[in-house]
Amino acid sequence: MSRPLFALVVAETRIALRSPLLWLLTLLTVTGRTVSTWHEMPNWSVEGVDTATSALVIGAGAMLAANLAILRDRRADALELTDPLPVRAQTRTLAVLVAYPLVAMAYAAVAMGMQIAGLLINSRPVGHFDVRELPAGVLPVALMAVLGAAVGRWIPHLFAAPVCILLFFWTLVQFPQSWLLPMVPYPKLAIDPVRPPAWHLLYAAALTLTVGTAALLRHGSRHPGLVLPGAGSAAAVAVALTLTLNSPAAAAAARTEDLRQSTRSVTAGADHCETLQTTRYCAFPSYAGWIPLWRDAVGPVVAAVPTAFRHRLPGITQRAGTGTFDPTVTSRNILTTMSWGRNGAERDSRRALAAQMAAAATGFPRGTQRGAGPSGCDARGRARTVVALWLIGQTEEPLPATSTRSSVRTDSGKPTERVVPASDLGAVDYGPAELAYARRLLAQSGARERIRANWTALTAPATTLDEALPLLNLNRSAASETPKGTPCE
Amino acid sequence: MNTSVEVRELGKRYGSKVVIEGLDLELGKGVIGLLGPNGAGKTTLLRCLATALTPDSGRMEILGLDPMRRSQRTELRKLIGYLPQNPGLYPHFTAAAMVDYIARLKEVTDRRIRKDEVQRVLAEVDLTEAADTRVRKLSGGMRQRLGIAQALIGDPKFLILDEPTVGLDPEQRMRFRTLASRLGQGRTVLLSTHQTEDIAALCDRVIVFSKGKVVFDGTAPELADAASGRVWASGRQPAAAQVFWRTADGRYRVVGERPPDGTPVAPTVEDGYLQFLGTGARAGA
Ligand SMILES: Nc1ncnc2c1ncn2[C@@H]1O[C@H](COP(=O)(O)OP(=O)(O)O)[C@@H](O)[C@H]1O
Ligand SMILES: [Mg+2]
Repeated sequence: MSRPLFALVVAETRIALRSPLLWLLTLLTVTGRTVSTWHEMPNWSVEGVDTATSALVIGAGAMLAANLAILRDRRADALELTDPLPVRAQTRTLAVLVAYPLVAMAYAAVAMGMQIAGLLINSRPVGHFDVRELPAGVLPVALMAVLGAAVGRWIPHLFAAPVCILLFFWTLVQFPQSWLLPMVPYPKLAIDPVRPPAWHLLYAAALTLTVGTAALLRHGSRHPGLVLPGAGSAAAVAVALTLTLNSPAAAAAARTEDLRQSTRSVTAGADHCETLQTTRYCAFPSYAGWIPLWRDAVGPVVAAVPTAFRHRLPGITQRAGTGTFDPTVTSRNILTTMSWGRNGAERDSRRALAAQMAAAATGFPRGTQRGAGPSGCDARGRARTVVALWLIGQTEEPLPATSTRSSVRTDSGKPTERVVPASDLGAVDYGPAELAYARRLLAQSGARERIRANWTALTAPATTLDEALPLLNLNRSAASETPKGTPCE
Repeated sequence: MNTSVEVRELGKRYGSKVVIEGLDLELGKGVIGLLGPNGAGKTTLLRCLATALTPDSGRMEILGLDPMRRSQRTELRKLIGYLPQNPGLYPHFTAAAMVDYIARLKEVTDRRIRKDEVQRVLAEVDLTEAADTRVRKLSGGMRQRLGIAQALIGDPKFLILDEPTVGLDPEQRMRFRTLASRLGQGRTVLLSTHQTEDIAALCDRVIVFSKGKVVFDGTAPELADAASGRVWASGRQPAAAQVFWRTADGRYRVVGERPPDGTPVAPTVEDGYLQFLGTGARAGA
């Protein structure tokens, strides 16, 4: 690097480092991502890609900043001042092409590091962390900075860079999983996604060099020292892309597409299964780390059920958001999703899973539709309601029932509002009395033994609360409300 | 004469509009003022000399180098300091950062030398206090001085200043005159101006430029002398063909033919200038 070039690179680097565009967008990216993932347990297979993708926001800032740097003279009407100076315009472009990508990559790396640190707080990460996602996130940022400079050189108008950014993101959204993109923004599956091979990184790097050369060629120089590396990097783009698209990973990605349509998402065959204290837990292999979390939620509920009845309880099986569900699996299992709470939100995840087990143990229909009917059912004044809430209480404190409102059309076409009960037990309604009795039971010593001894009577759908109170050694404190909807079967 | 700039048969046109044609010029050390009305082609000539503009025809040799040749041009650019007529400065840069950036573009690559140089040129134009002020917050006069400061970087052998005194208050203008005379000691300082007082006060040599041609070339007293016997005070408004203006005492000052009631007045540089412009205008008509 010649001394004048180096002096300019230092100056441009300093200007870039202070660019409010870059550090504001970096701050925004880190804050936004940390806030949005704060309550979710990280899965590296997804978070790695999302963290890399979020760096594109910084890339957009880099594109604008580099573009403004290239257009600095034009904006300030300073061409007359700078043109007749010894350092040539080409050298100045080169300085921007070196400084801005470097600074933007540093910002992106810091942003990614901070996001990863945030994801590690109070978490038990699952999935595979692919280190390649780090360069895969940082390289497109360099590409965008170089693109901003090239656009500034070829289309010297301020509108060009924003248009270019819109086009860039439009392409990403339009072809989200195409490996022709410099960065592949979405994992195809949350379960062990197939990602582009290392060749793809070479592709992104060569693309960056090619665009950079294109920016320099605008100055009219056809010097072999410029044209040859440019042609070389263009050839590298073609070669690396071919290797990417013909890699074993590409074939695997094509198979993944079939998998998405299959029932793999819920079948147990390929999953990692463990039986702990009579309950069978099945997770996708990379999610096996969450089985202890599920057991902590469900285990206390199962332990409270009399031993003789435990074999009838369902297992826990993880399901992905895509694919069709095998009914034999869904009928015998509680389905848990690909997410789990963190930083306080884990209590909701635990309560939801415990409640499904409690509902199953006390014979309540699980889920909204089956058994409960389209408008749910009312479990007020029934003994098993109190038992179910007490079972939930083994893990997390039971909560009052609420309802969901939705707008539906009647047969005559008139829109009406439908209110469906929603509680931890599903579309099952109960009142404050049931909750109060459950809380008293939770505070009472010997409740567990009494419930176990009278299990069959207490969980029979017909047993009323009044009949059950003596069995539970509770005195009547509050009158139960009369059921408002269809009683639960 | 120690010639540092030689121009032969210089020609420049914009489209079909001829701005400079067949210009011959030799410049030596000292402060040289280029005087001429708007549109005379002063800026065009200065841009050619500053290598900001390529002439259509003719030859130039500046400080022994030929700006038409690429290799010599780069060498030459390190020796020239140029203040354009409208120096666009980066609004969000501080004064010091702006000068520092220009210094880098002038290949002042040593950090310490550059730092000293930035301080020196800012002090020359009395902007030391404003070093950390952003350009957009500087007044017009301060910006003009910053423009002069950047031209001084690297101690150029040939200084080209296009209307350097525009926007300067009287005190700053005085300061500039002192600076320019001092700079003119060892190098060529070529400046353009409308201000005849500037010329009288600081130029060793005056070139009156009109319609791309040199109509006068000499010292300031010679320019004033050129109008001797042709400057009059008159009580009545003269004919429109005459160059005249109304002075504070309500009388008319006339440059040209003697008005009927005209009394002779000692000529100034401005009178000389107007006399030449009048001649030039008639010659061009
Ligand atoms: N870039 C240009 N394109 C076309 N005409 C120009 C350009 N620059 C200057 N001119 C014309 O050339 C003539 C001389 O301009 P200029 O050199 O700026 O004169 P001065 O500096 O003496 O006022 C003017 O008539 C002006 O309109
Ligand atoms: Mg001018």
